[in-house]
This record gives sequence, structure tokens and C-alpha cells, in this order.
Amino acid sequence: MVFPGFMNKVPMAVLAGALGLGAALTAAIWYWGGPKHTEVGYSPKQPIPFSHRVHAGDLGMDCRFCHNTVERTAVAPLPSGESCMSCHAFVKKDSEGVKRLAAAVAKNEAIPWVRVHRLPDYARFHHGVHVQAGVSCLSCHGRIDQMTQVRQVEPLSMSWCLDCHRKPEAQLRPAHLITRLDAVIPDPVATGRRIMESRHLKPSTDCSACHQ
Amino acid sequence: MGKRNNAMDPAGPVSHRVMPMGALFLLIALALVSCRGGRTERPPIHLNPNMMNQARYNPQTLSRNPPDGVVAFGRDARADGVGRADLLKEGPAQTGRDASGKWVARIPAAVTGDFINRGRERFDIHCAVCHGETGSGKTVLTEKGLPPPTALIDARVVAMADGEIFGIITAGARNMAGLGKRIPAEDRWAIVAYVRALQAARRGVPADLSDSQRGALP
Repeated sequence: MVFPGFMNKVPMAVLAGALGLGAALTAAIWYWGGPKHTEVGYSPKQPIPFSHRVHAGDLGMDCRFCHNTVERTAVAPLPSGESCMSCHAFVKKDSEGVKRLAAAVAKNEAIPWVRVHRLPDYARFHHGVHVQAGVSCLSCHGRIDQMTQVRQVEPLSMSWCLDCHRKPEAQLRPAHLITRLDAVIPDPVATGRRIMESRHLKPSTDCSACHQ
Repeated sequence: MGKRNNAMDPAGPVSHRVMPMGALFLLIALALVSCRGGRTERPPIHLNPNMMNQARYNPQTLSRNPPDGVVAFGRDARADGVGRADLLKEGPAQTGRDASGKWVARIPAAVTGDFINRGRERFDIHCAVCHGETGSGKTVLTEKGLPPPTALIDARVVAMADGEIFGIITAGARNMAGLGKRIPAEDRWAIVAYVRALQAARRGVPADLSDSQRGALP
């Protein structure tokens, strides 16, 4: 006898081990390899620590005060430094961040804000169309009004977009509640269905809707 | 009896050794599972970045200096906030002034219920932060150092021509920055209409009403 008896078990053990490892690896890549892990949670430090919690939450400023063309244009714009200074020329003008802001505005320099929500360049998203349809900021950006440092909460992946394009009811709101992130919609699906009918909404699931 | 049971392994039966191992493994797996989508300051990793970043300029990214011989043309090209669309058809509806340069007395648009409601929505977005939702000029910001804004229900504002209020929204006044770049002209007129509605609501007297409206009062 050349091999000891336990060697009989080795092929099976190797096979079971390889299968187990393969399954574990597949599961890990499936779970952590996609946008639900790689995109969600991104919360970069900004050059000036601007708090949405203070401005949109505590002060109750409407999202559209700063992101003013979001109802009409593809992009929800960042406000100009002058917009900030219309208040911060007086309020909290001794804080470190406001001083840096004022210096940048005086020199007509751009503030290098770090983008949080970013779609690939081959996907086109139009903010105006979605806001006009009744999709709240909340659906894609979460409770921004509670975030001190903005954090991505949705994967913004293609399957996630399509989930809503196929079943948009629960994400649609009456126009006056679009930017009210704390609003509770009593029967969201029935409300959404009414909005879909009245505005003749038919979200496209064609490739060319987003990949133009 | 002091005599060891030979059937027992010193470390206990197999199931007793596997149980804590399995529990530990399960705990680690659970801890890892909860790691999904956690907060991080590091930018997302893209394993296959094909064409994600194309050789083009996206809106609001820094661009190079404009090429020689090119003139800036767009909404913000003029420093006084009069936008491009307004420039193309400059008239009382865009400037708030008539041909002789005087403020127009009345809003150059049909003031309907929808128009005033639009004005209310825009007022609550752009004006209420400082002037208050009722136009009283009292907000939490004055406690934080903002010089008290004009109360829009003051007699001084009531006496202004519609065009003058429009002009102030467009170009600013005192400490207020002009909002002409941020609000389209039509919406600025709608805001003027709503400011008039706020004034009427606050300063109105029964004599302002028609007989039938007065009869409906409680």
C-alpha cells in the first residue's frame, strides 16, 4: 500500500473545498461587487463644510433656492458663490468656511466642490423631466435635509433606474410636495397611479431613453 | 466515580467543537453583510470604467479658458442679471420699465388664480427665507445676524409701482442681492402678484370687498 487510508478522502475534500470557495467567492462578488456597495455610502469631504442639515433641514430652505433650475434643466445646478454671500455677508461671517467662501467669491474663483452623485458619461439623466413627472428629490438622494455631509444612499445603477421606470407609482408625488422631504404621502401607490394617469406618464424602458 | 468515560473525547463530542466554530463563522458573515454600502470618503471603484469618463466637458466642471476671438454668450453673460432670453425681447415685461424709463404701474401679464399660486410657490422658495412666509420680514435669520429685511406689507412697499418691486427682485436693493439671474422674468412677475396678495391679506379692510363677498364674511 503506497498511500495511507485517509488519502481516499482527499479528492472529495479538494472538490468540496473548491466548490465551497467558489460559492463563497461568487456570493462575495455578487454582494459587494455591485453599486449597492461600491457606490452607496460615498460621502466625500467637501472643501467647505456645507451642511444640508442646517440649510435645508433646520432653516427649511427649499431645495430650489440653490438648485434653482432643477425643474427645467437636465442638471440641478450648484449655486453661485454670490448666492451664498447674499446671506453669509452677514450671517456667520467669522467662520472659517465662510471666510474661505468670501475669499473665493472676491477672487472670482470656483470652489472645488466634490461631486457625490455621478452617473457614467454614457447615461443621460434629465432632472427637469423627472421633477415635472412628480419624482421627489427624496427618491434618488434620500433625506438630504438630515445630512451634515452629503452621502449617496441609492446605487444609481441601471437596474435601479429600470425598477422605477417599470413601476414608478410609489415614487410620484403631487407637485407641491416634491421638495418636502419629510412629507408623508398617505397612499403612495394610489396617489402615484392618479398622477400617472393625469399626466399621461409612460416611463420609457428603451435603451435610447438614457443612452442617447 | 473518578473514572473517565472513554467514549468521551477530552475536548467533548464533535458537535460541541463544531458549534462554536459555526457560530463564530456566522457572526463574521453577519458582520461582513452589514458592511454593504457603508460610509466612506473614498470615491467608488469602477472595475470596468469603459467610457464612464469621456473626453468632454460636463456642466459646471472647470473648463479651459475660452479660445481667442470668442465672446461669452448666455444667461449669465450680462452682469446686471438680464438673461439672454430677456435680451432678445427687451421690453417692460423684462425690465419692469416702460419706454420712458418709468416703472410700470401694473403687472404686464394676466393675473389669474394660477398666476398668483405660481407666485406663492416661487415666493416660498426664493423670498420666504429672508422675508418670512407672510412677508413680515421676521425670520430666524435676523437673530443670526442678518440685517432685518424690509417687511413687504409696509406702506412703503404697498405704495411702490409693480415695476419697482419687479426691479428690486431683479437687481436687488440695500442688502438684498438681485435674483434676476436665478428667477425667470415671468416668475418674478408672479412673485409681485403674490406680494400684492400678501399685502391685501394683511392690510385689507371690509371696504375692499364687493357686497356679495362682504355678505359671505362670518
